[in-house]
Amino acid sequence: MSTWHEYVQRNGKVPEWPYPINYGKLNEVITDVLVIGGGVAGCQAAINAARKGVKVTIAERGHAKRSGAGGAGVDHWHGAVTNPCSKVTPEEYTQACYDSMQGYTGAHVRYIITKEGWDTLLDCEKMGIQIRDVHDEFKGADFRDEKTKLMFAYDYRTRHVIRVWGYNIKPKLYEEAKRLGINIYNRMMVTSLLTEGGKQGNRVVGATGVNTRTGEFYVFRSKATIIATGGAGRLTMFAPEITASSSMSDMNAAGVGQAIGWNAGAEVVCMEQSGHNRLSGFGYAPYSMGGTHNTYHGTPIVDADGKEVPWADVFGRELKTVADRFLPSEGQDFILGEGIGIGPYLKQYRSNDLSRDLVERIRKGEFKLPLYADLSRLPEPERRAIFGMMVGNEGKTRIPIYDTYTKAGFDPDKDMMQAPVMPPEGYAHSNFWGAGINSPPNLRGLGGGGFLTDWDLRTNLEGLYAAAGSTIFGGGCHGESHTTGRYAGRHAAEYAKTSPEGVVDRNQVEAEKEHAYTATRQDKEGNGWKEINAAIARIMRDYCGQYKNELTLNLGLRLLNELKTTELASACASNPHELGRLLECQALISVGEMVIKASLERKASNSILDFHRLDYPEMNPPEWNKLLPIRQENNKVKVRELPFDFHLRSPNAPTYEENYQKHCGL
Amino acid sequence: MFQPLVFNEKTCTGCNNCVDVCLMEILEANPKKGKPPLVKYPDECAYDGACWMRCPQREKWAIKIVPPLPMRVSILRGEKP
Repeated sequence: MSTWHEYVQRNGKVPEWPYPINYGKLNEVITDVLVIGGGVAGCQAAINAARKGVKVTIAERGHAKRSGAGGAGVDHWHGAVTNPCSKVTPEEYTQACYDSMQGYTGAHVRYIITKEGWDTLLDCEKMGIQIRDVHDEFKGADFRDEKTKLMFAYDYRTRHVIRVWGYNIKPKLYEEAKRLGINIYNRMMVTSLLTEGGKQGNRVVGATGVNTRTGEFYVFRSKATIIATGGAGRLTMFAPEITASSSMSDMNAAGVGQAIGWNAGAEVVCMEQSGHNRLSGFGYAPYSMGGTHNTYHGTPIVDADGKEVPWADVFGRELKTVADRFLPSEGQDFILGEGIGIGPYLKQYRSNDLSRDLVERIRKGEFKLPLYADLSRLPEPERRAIFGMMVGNEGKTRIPIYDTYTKAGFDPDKDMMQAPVMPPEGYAHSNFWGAGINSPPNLRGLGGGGFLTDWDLRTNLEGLYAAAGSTIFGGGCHGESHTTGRYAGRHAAEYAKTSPEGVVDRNQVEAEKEHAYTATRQDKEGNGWKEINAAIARIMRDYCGQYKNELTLNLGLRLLNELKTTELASACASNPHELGRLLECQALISVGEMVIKASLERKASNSILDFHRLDYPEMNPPEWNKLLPIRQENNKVKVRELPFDFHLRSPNAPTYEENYQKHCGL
Repeated sequence: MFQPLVFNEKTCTGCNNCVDVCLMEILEANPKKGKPPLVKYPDECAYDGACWMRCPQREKWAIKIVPPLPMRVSILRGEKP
């Protein structure tokens, strides 16, 4: 027996809610630093703040032992450019990101990540994470450095991406946080940031939240606050029967951090950027099908007759050997690697890939479907590194893929993984399991935008800092989340040490409390949270999809507002769990409004941002090559213009290194 | 629609470690002590495996994660296409 329904059938009654419910009961927590979000970024922020000797509290939506997008593990670590084997400098890596994105990325954040990514990984090693081949399992492999025993991915010449055994990285962070005496409040749905005088734009002095087991109300009073939450994958798609097991936009991604920051007056930038949501779940469970992208980079692809698909470098030259797939070609500086929040890559930094004419050759019948990933054709160490070490450590693949397949008898020495069968265009990108062609064309995913921070990773609001790969402008993926968390934690602690206690506005607390419990007072005929979430996603898809204009965007805003003031205002929650989900819907609406308002401000189409205004069809008009950060003041949008290189302009110093040295606090 | 987790009544001790760590809070402790937890909200599962990794009886299949059927793989075992 394992389902709720079976219990009801067997016992003839519904089990009672297992926790005491006290809706609205007030709990007050006083801390120096409050970290919102206890994922890998949040735990790193908390640990590094605590090491500075201040009192630290984490407010976590799930349970910090395993929660967050990085909670299930990691297999490779980007941006470790200062490791002893790296031939790439922080300046070169940062410039590669900045140039590839033509300025639409926070290069100062990238620089901080590259300066400290390796040091952060060394910290993790001290906590008990294996980052080297200490058991000499891969001795002699060309991706391994014999002296340091480090193992690399994507680019074996310049060696800045490190393969790691990260399946237990989250429990280790959790243990360290507990050892340092950090207070962790699990099951906390944070509903708002508190500001001085309750006014948007003022210093942040805490937050409010609801416990989703007991329904109790929490007021956190803090000198400094760090937002370290995940993305907003549920904003444009909500259909668990389709999105189940999607890795990048799963149920956990409700955009709570972005929402509370936006409502408090924090400045965000590039929220108008989006992309075709290839990972929405219309594909397959992550890494469950054959492909040769990311973790599977380099895996030979064969057709139904066993004919191997050729590889080519970015200039179209055929790559003859497997080893060539992991080396930059003549004319390339280095290979950046996949999954770092970079959209288009300049050729100098792009990965080697399957021959670019594969789609055409499938259409002509030269390659017969289905295709297969044939790991057996890889050199033995590479095969074990991919299906074993990496799939066995990467978030969400250890159990559903590695463990399940292995127990089912899958043997990478002789078995093959089939690629999905789809129209030829689906093979244009070598991530076949997340093939974009399977997602509806109007389904978008946010990407690249986030909180605009300074060289301290502070937002425009006094006392408010930001971290995490998908929340900060200039972030990336797993390693980047750790590193930005670590940096933001230090800076928030320093601020907290010298700043006075904040004054919480009682009226704001009362208003938030009143608002948070509306759904518990409704009659049972109101809509449930799932229907509301699906409606939000529909509005976003229809009115803020790939193609939009002033009218559709304004219609979208109107419909979101109507949804908020009618169906959501009368929605019903029958227990604290459902209340938490409804409060997530509130957050999603705020993020939706933020995205639409950002889209309204950019009156030009833009290819890097994959942003298409039907009423301004000219692509990339030069006068619009700028950042347009937005924030709220008295609930009205304030926009300003910012040059791409703002981080190197006055009052900042003219070079990355000077700014870093001035601000890093080391 | 999906049944993301299957508990084995014979090997699950009802320790509820999985209930403690579940990211999405889809599990509820069984009112009967020592019995497997109830999967109350199966369609909110994030398939992150936190429950499995925390399970002291996982090698005895006390808890099994079942990826959604339409997302499961096609493997040719030991055969060439």
